[in-house]
Amino acid sequence: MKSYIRIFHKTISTSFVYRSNLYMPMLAYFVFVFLQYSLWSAVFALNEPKGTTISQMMTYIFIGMMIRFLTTATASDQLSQEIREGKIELMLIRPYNLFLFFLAKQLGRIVVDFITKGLPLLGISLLFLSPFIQIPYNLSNWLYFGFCCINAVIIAFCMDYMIGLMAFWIIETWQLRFLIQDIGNVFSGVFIPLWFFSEPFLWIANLLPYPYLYFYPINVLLGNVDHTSFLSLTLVGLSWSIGLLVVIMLMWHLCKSRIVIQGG
Amino acid sequence: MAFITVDAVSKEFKVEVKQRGVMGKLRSLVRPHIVIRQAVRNISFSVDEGEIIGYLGPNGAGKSTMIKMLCGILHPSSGQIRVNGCIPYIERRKYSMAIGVVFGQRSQLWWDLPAIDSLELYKDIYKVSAASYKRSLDEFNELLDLHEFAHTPVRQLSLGQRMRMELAAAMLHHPQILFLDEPTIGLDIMVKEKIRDFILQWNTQRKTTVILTTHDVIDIERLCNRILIINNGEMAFDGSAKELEQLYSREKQIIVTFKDAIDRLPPLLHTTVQRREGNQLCFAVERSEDVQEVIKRIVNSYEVTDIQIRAADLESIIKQVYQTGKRDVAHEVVYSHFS
Repeated sequence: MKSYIRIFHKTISTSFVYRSNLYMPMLAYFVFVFLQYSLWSAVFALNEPKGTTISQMMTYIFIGMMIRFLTTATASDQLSQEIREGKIELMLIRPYNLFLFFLAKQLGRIVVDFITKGLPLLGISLLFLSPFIQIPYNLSNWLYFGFCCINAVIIAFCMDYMIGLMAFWIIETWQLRFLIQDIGNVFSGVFIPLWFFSEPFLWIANLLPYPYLYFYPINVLLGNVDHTSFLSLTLVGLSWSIGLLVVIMLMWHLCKSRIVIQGG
Repeated sequence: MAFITVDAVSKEFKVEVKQRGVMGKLRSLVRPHIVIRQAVRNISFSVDEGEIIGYLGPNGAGKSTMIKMLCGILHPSSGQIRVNGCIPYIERRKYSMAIGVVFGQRSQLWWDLPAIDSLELYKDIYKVSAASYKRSLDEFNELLDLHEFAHTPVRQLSLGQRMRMELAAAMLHHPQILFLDEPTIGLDIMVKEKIRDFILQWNTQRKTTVILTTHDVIDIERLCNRILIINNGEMAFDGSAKELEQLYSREKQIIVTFKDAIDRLPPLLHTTVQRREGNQLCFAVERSEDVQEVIKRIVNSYEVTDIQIRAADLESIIKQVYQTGKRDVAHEVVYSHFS
């Protein structure tokens, strides 16, 4: 346990080594948030969609941005690179669990992102957008939101880790990562909330794990989810994370006997 | 029972052969051309505790593959490896506590952080107690002068500094076995010496078993009490450096400097002229028993200013083993594979 805490710790300190590592993503994040706000303001100014108010939309974007980095898993990038370059051998001779090693790194990244992206964004949003943002207060919603976030972290990490492991088969994984990310951007509700989706699209979205990363947690906090549907939501959400964990274990079992170390 | 036993181990890889040209590339997308390459063929040996083994072979002979199987990273295709009663590739995590590894070509230090941070990380990963960590660090400092650069980020270290740090990182948890894959590659003589002294000291004081691959003959001469040579994935030699010399180096070189230029030599037994530089001639005598006779004949017929007798050095002997062990690669099985 202590070693994973140390890895978590070192990941955070590594992130603060290069200043550009901090400022660039921060800037990119702000640009994205600004775009979202302007786009939706324009849409609402032209024609207010039925059933959604601008304040609801802005609150959706705000909460979304505050939790987005929870589900931006990037650890697999390093995993596939290590596999690609053969450096994975140095990880395989250590007495730790590779999955937990990368999970510790991912949690470290989340903390870094919260400090560098979340906090500044929170400050700016409160300054300029507070009239728009309305989060109904309800303790059980907040508690359930917390659970949803943790589950979202696990689902996102597992999907990312699976892509990373795929490097053992396909070596180059960035195409696959982009594909998965793009599908995710559509179906998780990052760009367009799922309540604007047509029936067939909504049906597809519900077959995928993506809404559990983004759309459902936000909706819980917005008070759009009935307490009665908490149970079914929990069951499906949990089965996604458990299912993915099982798949990863199977993949790892297959990998072990067919590992080829690149570059001698 | 021996500390490490390797029993009839083979390892084969499936390699996809890329076709040439655009059409060929497209064809191999649909129907990849798979070739099975035998990296290690039926190798057996055993190692006792405290030995320093030089595991040699030309590039691509299957050295690294064997080392990786011994480290528990790769599964052998057939055969079995046992180290101290443990099967490395099955009990990977338990086994990893007992081994230390330095791969000269790859770094195990965190690139962006000060070197000492990586050591701290390994201290926790290997559950090294604070007291033992401090003691080891003092010892590393004394032998490898780590304090000079312990707080510099790894990316700013010179190769020599980094290798010393790598060695410290590998030895922090006092492993029973140390695997060194070309630890002195690209280093200057001073650092090489430091590293060799360090390895020797740990071996004598703690009975650490060392398995070393290298292309540096001085590493072998200074460190190894036993040499294994593999070629084309097969064992070509197993024994001490002395035995290797006796086996392969019955040849002697005689370098004679004549007073005057000579154009004709007397007939000499089992002897060939290897080189000629002005008045200096270099003879190769096949059997050392003939050396006396050859010299007698030369001295009797000509005026000579200098004579040197040399045994073939380890480097040329190893070269000889590599060459005689060479065979055609007819073992490759070729088949196509539909996917």
